[in-house]
Amino acid sequence: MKLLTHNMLSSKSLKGVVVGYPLKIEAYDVKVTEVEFNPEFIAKVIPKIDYSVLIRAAEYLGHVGKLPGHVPENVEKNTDFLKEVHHALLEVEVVKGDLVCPESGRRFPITDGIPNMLLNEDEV
Amino acid sequence: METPIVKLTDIELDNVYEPSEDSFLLIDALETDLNDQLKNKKPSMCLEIGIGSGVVLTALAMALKKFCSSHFVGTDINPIACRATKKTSMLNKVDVDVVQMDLLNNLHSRNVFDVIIFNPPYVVTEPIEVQDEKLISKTWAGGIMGRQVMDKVFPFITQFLSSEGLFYLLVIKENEPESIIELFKTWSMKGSIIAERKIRGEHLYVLRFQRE
Repeated sequence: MKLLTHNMLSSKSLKGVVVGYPLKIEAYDVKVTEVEFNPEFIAKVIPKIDYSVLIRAAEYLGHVGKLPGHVPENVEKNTDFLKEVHHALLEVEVVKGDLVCPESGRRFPITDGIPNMLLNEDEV
Repeated sequence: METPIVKLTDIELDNVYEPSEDSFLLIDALETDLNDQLKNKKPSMCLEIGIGSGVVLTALAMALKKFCSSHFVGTDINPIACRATKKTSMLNKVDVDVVQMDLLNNLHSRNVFDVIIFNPPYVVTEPIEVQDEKLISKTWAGGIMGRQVMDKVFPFITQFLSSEGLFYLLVIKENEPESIIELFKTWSMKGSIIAERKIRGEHLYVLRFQRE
């Protein structure tokens, strides 16, 4: 699971959970793979993500690097910033770990990079 | 569009939908659209609901790679399908992030996806068959009019589709494509049939929707 995908996941389907976002990450195995950097693509993705959630996720994994606390102005021209975001969003992957619902504490295991968000019948 | 290599083990074949005529019609429709508009739109986020073997999203990822970078996410209720998709994407040297979930249940509502693809369980069956625990049944059992599963997804599409986003849906005649197009008008979405094919026992259609 890449952090770009994590940015899109919630546990709202759990009974009694109101927002269920963002999910905490407890990672036991993190993989870093080089992915081709495309500044145009990253600049297009930034408005689609919740940047503060990305920062927190990168912190959980110890990959916050030089990511600033807020999105700077004129991101399109800020290659250093785009590279940092690129790394956090696409190059860092959780192979094994848990996603944790921020409200209920329910854990969703990640195995071989695939989070299992399925609920039991009594949880829906 | 190049057809991805798919290698399913015996266990996977027993539990995962093997790429079939419907999958290939969807790939063909995406190929036509790639040349018409997708390569210019450069979709940055693509989602497939119920990804199965991963053949369709992998085909799109392979084709889009020549024009732009995109992020591909697939969901499936079936853990064996999730793993099969990972394998298919790796075999074809593209990246698809897979999350095991029921339909769209655990996606955070936000209008981020430029492409959403759905090849739902469309076969007309007894309603009870939709609840069948067998994983392979979930790939095809559609209940009344074959619409029971897809109808659950339709109202949520506009919560996930980006403003310029495209939603591709595979259906059969019994699902009543025209009535689905009518239904989507409720959510200010216009739709049309972009491909169809008659095969033995099935008349397949690909519908495409976008905001009005």
